[in-house]
Amino acid sequence: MSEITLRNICKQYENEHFAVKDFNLDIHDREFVIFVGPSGCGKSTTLRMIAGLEDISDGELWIDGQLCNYFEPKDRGLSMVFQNYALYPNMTVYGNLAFALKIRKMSKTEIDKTVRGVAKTLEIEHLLERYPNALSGGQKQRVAIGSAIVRKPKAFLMDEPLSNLDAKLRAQMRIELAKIHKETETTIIYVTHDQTEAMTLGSKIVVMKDGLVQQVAAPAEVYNHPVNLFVAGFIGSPSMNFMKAWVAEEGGHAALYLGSMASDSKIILDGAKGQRLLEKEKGNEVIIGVRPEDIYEYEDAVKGGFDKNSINICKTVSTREVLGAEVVLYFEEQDKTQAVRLKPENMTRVGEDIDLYVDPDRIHVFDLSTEENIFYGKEQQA
Amino acid sequence: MNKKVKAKGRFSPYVYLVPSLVIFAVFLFYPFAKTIYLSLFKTNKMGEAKIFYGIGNYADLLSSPSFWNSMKVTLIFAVIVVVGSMLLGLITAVLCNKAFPGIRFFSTAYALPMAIASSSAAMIFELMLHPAVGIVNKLLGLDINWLNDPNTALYCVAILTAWLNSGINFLYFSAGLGNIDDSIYERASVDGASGIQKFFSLTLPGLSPIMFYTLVVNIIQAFQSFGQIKILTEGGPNESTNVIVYSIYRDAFFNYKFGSASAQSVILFIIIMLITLVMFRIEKKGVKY
Ligand SMILES: Nc1ncnc2c1ncn2[C@@H]1O[C@H](COP(=O)(O)OP(=O)(O)OP(=O)(O)O)[C@@H](O)[C@H]1O
Ligand SMILES: [Mg+2]
Repeated sequence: MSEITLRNICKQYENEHFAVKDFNLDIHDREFVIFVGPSGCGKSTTLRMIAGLEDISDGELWIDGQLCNYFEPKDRGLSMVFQNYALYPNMTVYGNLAFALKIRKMSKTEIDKTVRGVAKTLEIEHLLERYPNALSGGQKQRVAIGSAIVRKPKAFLMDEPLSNLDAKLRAQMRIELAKIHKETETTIIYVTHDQTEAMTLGSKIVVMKDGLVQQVAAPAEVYNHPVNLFVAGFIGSPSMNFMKAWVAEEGGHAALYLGSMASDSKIILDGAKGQRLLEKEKGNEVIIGVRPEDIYEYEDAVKGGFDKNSINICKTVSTREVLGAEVVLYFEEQDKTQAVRLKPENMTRVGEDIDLYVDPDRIHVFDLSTEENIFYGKEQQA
Repeated sequence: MNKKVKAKGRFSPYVYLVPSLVIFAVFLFYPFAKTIYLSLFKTNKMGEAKIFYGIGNYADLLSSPSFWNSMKVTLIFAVIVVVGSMLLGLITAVLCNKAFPGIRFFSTAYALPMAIASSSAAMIFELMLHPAVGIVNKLLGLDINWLNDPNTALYCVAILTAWLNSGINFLYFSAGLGNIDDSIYERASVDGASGIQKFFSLTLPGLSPIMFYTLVVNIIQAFQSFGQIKILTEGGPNESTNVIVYSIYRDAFFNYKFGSASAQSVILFIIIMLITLVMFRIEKKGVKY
């Protein structure tokens, strides 16, 4: 049982600069919460404040109904994996894994059993007698994870625990972590840069930027209904395509003219979405966002019934990437490289033109000045 | 031609070593050889070898109670000095390892003994320990003649020496502590370790490589202490502070027994060398990372 609540948590270092500002979050028992955001946005700082390694400048931290702002790290009952491993150099891998248990005065046989069990899960059994300086980065990282999961804390705090593994091992460890989460039934707070980790592991994603929480939601929600331009661009790979467009009314529907009012490329938004757009931004310039997989070829557009909504969007392919199960075409639009994800059967070559159709239901529109998603909130109600 | 290059290649490293070898030869190797030579003779007052005495000087020493007293005094002195100065250096270094207001003042204060000449420190100590006007007796409300009482003189001199040597230890240990990664302390505190547990399972092992060198240097330094003994007690009272270095000095320059003094020097050299060798042996087994 562990409920962690952060209320208006702030962190101000000596230089008066806010590393974290007004952080609010409710973490429920057994949740797998992921902090994502660009480098320096305050993910580690927030995690360290929860662990008690960093003073909380302002706000309240509640763990299981207790105000924990002034608790010593050792009294918070959490366990942490550090970004830089933090292995004890004077102890073997075995000693590293056993340390927290020894402190808890567990019996020798029990320690041995637990340590060997964890070592087996993480495939580091053959390393138990080694010292940390004789380990590779990936091995160190696994030892660091191991030393956190040997005991049963109220919650695990993990700071980029997989950042130094190669792609294959990372995928394997990701599955392992998901399993560990399921088996231990423990709350996990997890910091990462990695999209895939964030989307696959998390039951809740916290997107941060410059010390401010941008959006807290389930992975699919963050992906499909980003609250603003930043979240939309940060989540997803290849990232969302952004283009400027003008909003006008045409036959009761909203029309988005790409680039300028005089452009002959336009996208028609009908239904509630179109109405909302007209209501808020009629006659204004906006930023539209479309994910690469929400752009189709003619046949698929006909199947989806939106072939009439995209008019005259014909682009010259500048780069072509074949990724096995899909092909990604890149084209230039408004001085930016935009991506389209198509079926692998598509044979368009570099330099050729392709007609593209945007799924109007999947289009995001952001206010030019506030950069907020103007459909956010309304969409959830619909 | 080829041969010449080869020959040049073989000798040139030694050519570069010549300046330091010359200095070593003049100030170290020659006096050392001369000491061994003198230890086998009886000398005149000018320190010139006169009568060959063989191992007689050594035999005389080994049967002299004064020599054995010197050995015992040296041992007690060295143990107190080494343990005291290392503990003092360690504690001060650990205290100064955290950032707090005024840390610069404390760091300077703890490193200061390094910069103080042993003789001037000894003179200040003499004043402090003065039986009538000294601050120590005044503060403790006692009436002890510290430096003239055979029961206390050795401890006083040893404690002064420990303090004098602690400055450099503070520096060594501070450097050693700086090499320990802070994040392992953070992990330990999340893991649930108390301050004492952190000290014994992280700090001490983290210092062990530097600890060894500090120990060797301290032992050698302790055996060679001289200035403060010369000023405070001159080996007395009743030979209770007559450490072997002082005994060498006294035999050579007061009693003009250069042969005996040389023999004691050789014995001191052998003792220090043995201790150092043994310690290097232990170190090879002890430090594993
Ligand atoms: N001790 C410190 N003193 C002053 N500023 C700090 C300190 N530690 C971190 N910061 C600043 O706080 C901000 C947040 O840092 P933090 O380490 O939380 O970033 P992060 O999101 O974990 O980044 P990364 O993904 O690179 O690890 C950064 O701008 C950083 O420069
Ligand atoms: Mg970080």
